[in-house]
Amino acid sequence: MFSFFGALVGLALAVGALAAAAPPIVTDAWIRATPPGAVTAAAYLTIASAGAADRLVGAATPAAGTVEIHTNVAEAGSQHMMRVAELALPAGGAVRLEPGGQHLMLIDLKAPMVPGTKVALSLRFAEGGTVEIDVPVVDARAQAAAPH
Amino acid sequence: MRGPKPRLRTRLGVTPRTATVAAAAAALGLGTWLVLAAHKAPPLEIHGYVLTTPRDLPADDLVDEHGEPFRLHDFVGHWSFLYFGYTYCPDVCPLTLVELTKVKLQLAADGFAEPSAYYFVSVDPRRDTPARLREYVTYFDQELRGLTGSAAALAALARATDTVFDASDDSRGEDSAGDNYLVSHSSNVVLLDPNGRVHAVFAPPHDPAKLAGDFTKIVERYEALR
Repeated sequence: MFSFFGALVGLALAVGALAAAAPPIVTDAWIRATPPGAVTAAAYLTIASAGAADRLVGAATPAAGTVEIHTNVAEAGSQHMMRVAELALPAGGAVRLEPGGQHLMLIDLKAPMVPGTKVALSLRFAEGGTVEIDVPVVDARAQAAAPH
Repeated sequence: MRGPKPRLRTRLGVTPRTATVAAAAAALGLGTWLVLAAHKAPPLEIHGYVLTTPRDLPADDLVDEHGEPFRLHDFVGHWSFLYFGYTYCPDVCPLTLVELTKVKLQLAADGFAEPSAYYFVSVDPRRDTPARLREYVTYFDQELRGLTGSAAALAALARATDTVFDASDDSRGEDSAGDNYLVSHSSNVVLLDPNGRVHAVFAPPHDPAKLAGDFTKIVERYEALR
């Protein structure tokens, strides 16, 4: 099971840029390996505040044309995926992007997401600057090993 | 020689044969009562709901992952799990299809031999051609089937299965004119019984072990009532 404090220890890849506020800490990132022919993929991760409140306002990767922040909204008894402009990160709190919930949608993939490879992802925060991470691609199918 | 009275007397007399008929009628009545009583029993508690009366699917115009016509009677003779989505969906569709394959593995591990089939129904026929569907579904499981159809057929199928979807409410707005658009859709899993009727709807989030357990309960009651 995911340990929040364990995640804090693994902050090594976070790179603060320019901004005065400390960058949020990103852990447990993974991208779902894609079926053949896929042009979209989902990335999941946990963002922990480094102290102050912040907002995830954008993301980008060389592996895809566009990255969007998506959330799931319950509406008329069913869930719908929806693009949002930003994701709020409460002071001292953490936000989890996980399957079936909030995630980053990679659109216009340059190539399929192959398990075992890593994909560069940059996350842009309103206060904390940009965080660059290398995200492993994981095969999450039933027959494959669990993602974590 | 054609006197009616002896015949009448024979019919009214309590012979072993009439006793058997009477017993059979009583048993039939009891059986009917048991069935009715079971129908009045509280609905099964599942994560989702069991329909009070199984619902027929509408006449359709569906096509499978090989581009072959798919008829309603193709749903007959086995239980069917249906999940509605589209192959461009990056998160909840792969997630649910993985969960469905886990349900299948769980049932096999439990030795549950009831034949069942699993279908991914694309509500995005504009992008999801049969060829695209085929490479998509077989990635998740070799036995997972893919279905799609005309807009009218999909709308009718969705209505009958308490499913909603909408390709027009893309939050991307003007950019959605191209090939990058989102389709909102229910995350329910629909269960058809071996008569090809809508029998139950499982609500998300789907826990494979729970879903397999709910399915087992549904099948047991269905068999008991047959």
